[in-house]
Amino acid sequence: MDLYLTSEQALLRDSAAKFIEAAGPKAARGFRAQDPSFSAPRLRHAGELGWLGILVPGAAGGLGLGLTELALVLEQAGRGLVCEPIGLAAISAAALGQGRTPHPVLDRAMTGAALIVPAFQESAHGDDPLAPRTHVAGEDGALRLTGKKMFVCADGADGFLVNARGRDGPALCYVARNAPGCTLSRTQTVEGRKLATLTLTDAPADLIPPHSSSRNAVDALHNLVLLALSSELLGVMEKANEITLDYLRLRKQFGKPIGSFQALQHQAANIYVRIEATRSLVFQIAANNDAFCIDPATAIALKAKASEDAMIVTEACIQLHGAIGFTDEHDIGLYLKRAMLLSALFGNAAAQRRRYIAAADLTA
Amino acid sequence: MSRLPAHDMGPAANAFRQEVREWLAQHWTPEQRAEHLRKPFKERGWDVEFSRLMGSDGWIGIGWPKEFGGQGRSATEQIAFITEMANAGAPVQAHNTGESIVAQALFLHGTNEQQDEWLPAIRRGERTFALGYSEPEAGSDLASLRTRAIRDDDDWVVNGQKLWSTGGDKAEYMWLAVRTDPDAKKHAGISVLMVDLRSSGVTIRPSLALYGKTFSAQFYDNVRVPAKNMVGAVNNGWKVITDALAAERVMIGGTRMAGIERAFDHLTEYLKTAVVGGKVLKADPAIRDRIGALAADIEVARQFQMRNAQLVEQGKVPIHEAAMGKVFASELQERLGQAALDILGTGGLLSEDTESAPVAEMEQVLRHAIMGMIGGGTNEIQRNVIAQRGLDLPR
Repeated sequence: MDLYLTSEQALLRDSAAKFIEAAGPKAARGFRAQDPSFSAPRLRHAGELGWLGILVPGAAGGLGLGLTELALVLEQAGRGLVCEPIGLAAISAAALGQGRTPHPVLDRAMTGAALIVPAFQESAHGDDPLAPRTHVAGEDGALRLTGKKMFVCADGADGFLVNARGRDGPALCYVARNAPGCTLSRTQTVEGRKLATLTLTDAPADLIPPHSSSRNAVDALHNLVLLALSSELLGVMEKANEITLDYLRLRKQFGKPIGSFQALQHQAANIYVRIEATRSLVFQIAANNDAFCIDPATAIALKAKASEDAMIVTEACIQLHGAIGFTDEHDIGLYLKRAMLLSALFGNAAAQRRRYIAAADLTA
Repeated sequence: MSRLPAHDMGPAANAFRQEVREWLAQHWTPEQRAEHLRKPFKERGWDVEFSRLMGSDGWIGIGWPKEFGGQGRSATEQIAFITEMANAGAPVQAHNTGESIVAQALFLHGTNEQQDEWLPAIRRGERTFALGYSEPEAGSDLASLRTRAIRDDDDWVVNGQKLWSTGGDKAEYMWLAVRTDPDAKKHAGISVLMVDLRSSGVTIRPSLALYGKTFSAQFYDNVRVPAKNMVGAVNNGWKVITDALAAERVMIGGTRMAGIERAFDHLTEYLKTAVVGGKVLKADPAIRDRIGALAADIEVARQFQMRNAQLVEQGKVPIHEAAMGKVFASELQERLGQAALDILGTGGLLSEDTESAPVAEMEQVLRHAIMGMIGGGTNEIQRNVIAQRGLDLPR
């Protein structure tokens, strides 16, 4: 699929590509045993480039751009195995800036001085974000959160956007990392990034109001999460595929480049078709949706497709490399592990398919 | 949902299986198992002490012919044995390669002296092997290997480099494919040596593989290997290797199957109590369909494994049959790993050393599957073998 980008969009994509040149597998490898698992200065650099405020209106100090621009940047982040959680930070900033009065932490979230990430999952299975067990009580100005969030990308985070059951339905709340009653316990993942369980016991929180165009603040942010993770997965697939195509052209066995063997060409063609499918979905959805009112069923379908394709594509890329692809030293395995992480976060393909049926009301 | 039904094995194999279980109950206790699991992931599975214990009680080489000191157990009994060991998580990797691949080659191609010297040591668990086949320029095209051996008096002098040897950082001996005639056609100038890895001139570089365990690259710099350590005639190595490779594929199919059954049991155990969004997961028709499909495929893979073991028993060398078993079992393992991740959700991500992981080592099943799809000849090469040797299609 060819994208017809405006010159501003192309410029943005190119500056993102430049940023990720300094990232890539080598940097990602270095962060595997680190705490936090990314570079705080680079997150601030992303802030300086404006990406963390990419969806925040100009009046609130952001770039005021749309979903296509967000997807272009995150696609590059996926390609570069960027460890800084740019996507989660940018959409959280969008939520913090969506009300009539932006939340006070917004400025620091946009510069990267503070990292705020969504904390929605309550089980391993991509639960319904609009029906959380975590609940919020009290009057505005003195809200208290109680509940447990799992698989939170809490590395280096200073605060969380939590979905909670409130008096009037699902509410989006901000809670600071160092708030009383807020504790984290972290576990290691296959990819190297740690994921945390966030326990909230009467933790003081602020209500985040919805954007004027949103159905609900939780719904809006959740759909943004799915689009952001899927855009990154797209980039992961694209770069893994490029590395693999280079190898198919270069590596010789039986006296010819292995890419000349039809069995491998067909696999390469299958990979290409999968990538283009996800790519079409990402940019169609980005072009046709209001950033704060993405159609939930479409976002779910996208995350289901991107999660599935990224796993199949990165596994196939290793297979096409043969044994060298199975070594830890070779970069291609890092793309599989990143795909495993991003596919699983906020619900994997199977969980999204289950949710799609409910969201699209197919069984009604 | 529960465990897979055990194979219908008949009275003799059932009795034998009971014997194996009793031995394991005594010698691989829950405490020993727990202690083994406390080791870092990459050190699990290879345990020389346990191999020696198995050897001293006669459990290595149970399928070998009696004339070579084995028990001459039937294919069914061997499968019962492998399955019991795997279900118990007993560490058998240290002696596996010697017991299956090297021994098979020694039965077919070894001299009497070699059989007398090497087989008893392997059987006692006292000689551990890794395979030295792949090289930087010789992967799927194995016959283009360049590691050179030149005869000098009673020795072969070896120079070259090997890659991706599983267990190659732990084994004492390398089953090494070398080029002994550089002027012959590429398949015709290869020989096989058993090389003591403690020899001077051997450098071993261990590295980590995608599935979280190690393998090694080795550098051979004027390494002297006694001529009596060559298996098969000079320049007849390709035949030795392909015969042994078939045994390797049978083994890859076999050990993989055992791991698959264990992982499958873990998954169904998890499903007994799993609830998602207030719904009992095991009641979900999509889950039942997927579990049922996997169970059916496991039965098929068992039959492939059985047929291959029977062919070996009849003194035949399964070629395309072994390739089919290997392709099927390794791709089944990938499907199982994918299903496990789908079913376990985000919790399936937690790494193998995380104690709170919902079902231990499950995401690892997927990463390990890729090794089965590449190791011992990629599945693409296996499909060539199936098409050309099994279906007689033109090259």
